[in-house]
Amino acid sequence: MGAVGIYQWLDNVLRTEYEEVRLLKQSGRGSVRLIRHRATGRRFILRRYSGEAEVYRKLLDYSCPNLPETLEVAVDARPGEGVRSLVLEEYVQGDTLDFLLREALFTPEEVRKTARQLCRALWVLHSLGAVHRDVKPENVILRGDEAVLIDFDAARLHKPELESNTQILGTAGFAAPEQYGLSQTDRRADIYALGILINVMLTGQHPSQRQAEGRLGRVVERCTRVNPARRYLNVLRLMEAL
Amino acid sequence: MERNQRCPRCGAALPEEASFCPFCAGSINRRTAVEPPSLRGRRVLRALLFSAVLAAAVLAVFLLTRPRVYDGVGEVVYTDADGTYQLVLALPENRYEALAEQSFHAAEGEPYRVPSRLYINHTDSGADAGQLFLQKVDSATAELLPLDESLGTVSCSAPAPHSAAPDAALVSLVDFTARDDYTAQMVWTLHMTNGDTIRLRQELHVALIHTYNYHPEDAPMETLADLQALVDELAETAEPYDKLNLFLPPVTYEGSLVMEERPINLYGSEENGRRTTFTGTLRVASRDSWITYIQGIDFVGDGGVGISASARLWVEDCTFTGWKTGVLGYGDAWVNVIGCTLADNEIGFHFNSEEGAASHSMYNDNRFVDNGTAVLLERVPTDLTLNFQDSLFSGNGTDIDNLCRQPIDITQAVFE
Repeated sequence: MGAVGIYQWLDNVLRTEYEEVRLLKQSGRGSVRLIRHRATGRRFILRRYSGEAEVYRKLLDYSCPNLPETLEVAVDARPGEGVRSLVLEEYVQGDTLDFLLREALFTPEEVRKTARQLCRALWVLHSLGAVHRDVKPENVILRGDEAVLIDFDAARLHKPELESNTQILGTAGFAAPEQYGLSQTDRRADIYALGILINVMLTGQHPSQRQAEGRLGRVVERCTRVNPARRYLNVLRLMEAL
Repeated sequence: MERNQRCPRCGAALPEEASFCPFCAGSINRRTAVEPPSLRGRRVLRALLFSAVLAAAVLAVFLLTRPRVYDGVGEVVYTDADGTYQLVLALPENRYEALAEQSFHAAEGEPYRVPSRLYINHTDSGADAGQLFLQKVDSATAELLPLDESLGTVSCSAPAPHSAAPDAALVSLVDFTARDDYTAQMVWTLHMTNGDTIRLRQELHVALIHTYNYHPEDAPMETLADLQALVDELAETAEPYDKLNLFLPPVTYEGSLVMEERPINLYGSEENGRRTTFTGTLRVASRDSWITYIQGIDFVGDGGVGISASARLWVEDCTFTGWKTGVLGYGDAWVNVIGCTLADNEIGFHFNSEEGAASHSMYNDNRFVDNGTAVLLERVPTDLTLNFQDSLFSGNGTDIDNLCRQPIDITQAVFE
C-alpha cells in the first residue's frame, strides 16, 4: 500500500471514530487538535501540517518517559501538490513549566531533576539525528514527577554533506566536528536553550538580565556561551555536570 | 488498499505499515525503551566489556571444538541445507564487496558516529537474502576489542535493522573519539539457531586531524607578498586534513589576499594601538567544506569588497569600514559575522548564496553603524533563522533588507 493510502485511510477512520475536543494551535502550516476516541474516551493529540514528518516517524519505534509517544505517522505525497502529514501523538496531561513559573520559581534540586529529564529527552532526539530547536518553558509539561518535552514542529533531521570515503552518518548528535558543518552547532543550540531554561527556572529571568549563582549558574554559563564549541559537547556531558 | 495485518487486540484489518489501531486506540508496534548511557559508569562498563570479551573468548574456545565455526575478515561464505550465502560487511554502493577496514579522520576529543553494515546475499543469484537468513539467526552481537584509553574511546551498538541503511540486514553504530591515531578491531558474531557461529571482523582506523600554528617568528608574514607566498606554500604542502592557523603581526597589508585552495584561519593581533589591517579584498574560495575563520582584523576600504567568500566563513571581532560591501557571501558559502563592527559601508553584510549547508545561526554582538544598507539578505541557503541577538543597528539607511524573506530573530537586537 502506498503512502497516500494510509493517509487517506487514517484520515477517514479518525473522522468517524474520534471527535474533536478543542483546537490547540492553528498556523499557516497546519493545526494541532486535542481529539477523543469515541469508544474509550482516550484523548490524543492530532497534528495536521504540510511538510515531512521525518522526526515523528523515527520516534515511532522508541519510548522515553520524557517524550510523548508518537503513535502513528501518515504522509501524503502527491506529485505537484506537496507533502501533507498526519501525526497522532500521546496526550500528555499536566501543567507547562511556563504556567508553573507564573506562580513561583523552582529550587535548585527541582531544577536539576527537571533538567536531567529534559537531557534524556534531548539525548533520544539527538541520537536519532534530530534537534528540537524550540526548547522553552511552554514546551515542557510536568506529568507527575516527570518532565516531558513536547512539540517537535520545529525539530528537524540533519543531513550534513556525506563524505564518500568516510561514510559519516550525518546526525546532529555525533556526525561531525564543527569544521564539518552544522551538526555540532545545532545540537548545541538545544544545549544553549536548555541553559536559558535552567536560568529562567531559578531566577525567572534571562541570564543576560540576571544569571543564576552557584554551581547551576556555572552550568548555565557554559550552556549559553556564544561560541558553540565552548558549550558542553553533548547532553550527556550536561547531565554529568547536573 | 490492501490490509494485510490485523490488530492483535480487536482484530480490525489494518494497513501493513500501521503502527497504531485507531479502532481500539492501541499501539501495535514494538517500541524500544531508550535511556542515555551513564558517563559515570564508564569503569563499570569497561569491566563489563572486559568480562564480555573474556566470556566470548571462553565461548570461542568451546565453539572451536565444534565442527562449524566460521571466521572471516569482512566476509564469510556460509552454506546450509537451504543454500549458500555471502555475509559481507560492505558499503551501500556495493553490497558484494567486503570492506575489511574503514578509515576516518577525527578532530581531537570530538565524538563521531559511523555505521558498520552487514549485507547478506545469495551467492547463486546475488539476491538480497537478509530477511530469510535472519530467521536462522538466534542472536547477533558486535563488539570492539579493548583500546588503549590514552588513544581514544570507541564503542558500538547492538546490531539491528536501521533506517539509514535499509538494504542492510543489520547495522551497528560505532561511536568513537580520538586523542591520537589508532586502530581498533570490530567483531560481529552471529549465533545460528543450529548451533553454528559466524564471526566477521573489520578494522577501524582513526587518524587525528593535526593543528599547525604559524606566528611571525615561524614564517615571513610582514607584507602582503610574504603572506600570499605563505598561504600558497601551505596550500601546496599541508596534508588535506591539517588545520592551519596563521597568527598575523599588527601590520597593514596593502592589496588583496587570495585563499582559494584550502581553508587557512587568520588571527589578527594588536600592539601599541596598532591592529592587523587589510586595505584590499580578502578572497576566500577554498574547495572543501571546512570553515575558514577570520578573527581580530580591521578591513579598511575605499569601495570594493572587504571579504568576498564563496566558501564557508566565520568572521569574528573584525571591523569593516569604507567598503561598497563589507562582507559578501556567494556561491555555496555560509558566512557567520559575529562580534564585528561594520560602519560607513554601502552594504555592511550581503548574503547571496545559492547552495551550501549552514554553519551556525548566530549573528550576535555586531555593530552596524551608518551603512547605506546594514544587512542585505538576497539569497540564503536553508530556512535557518538568523539570530541578531545583541547586535546594534544605528544610523543606517536600511537596517535589514530581507529580499529573500529569510526567517530572522531580531527580538534581542537594538535599533537606534
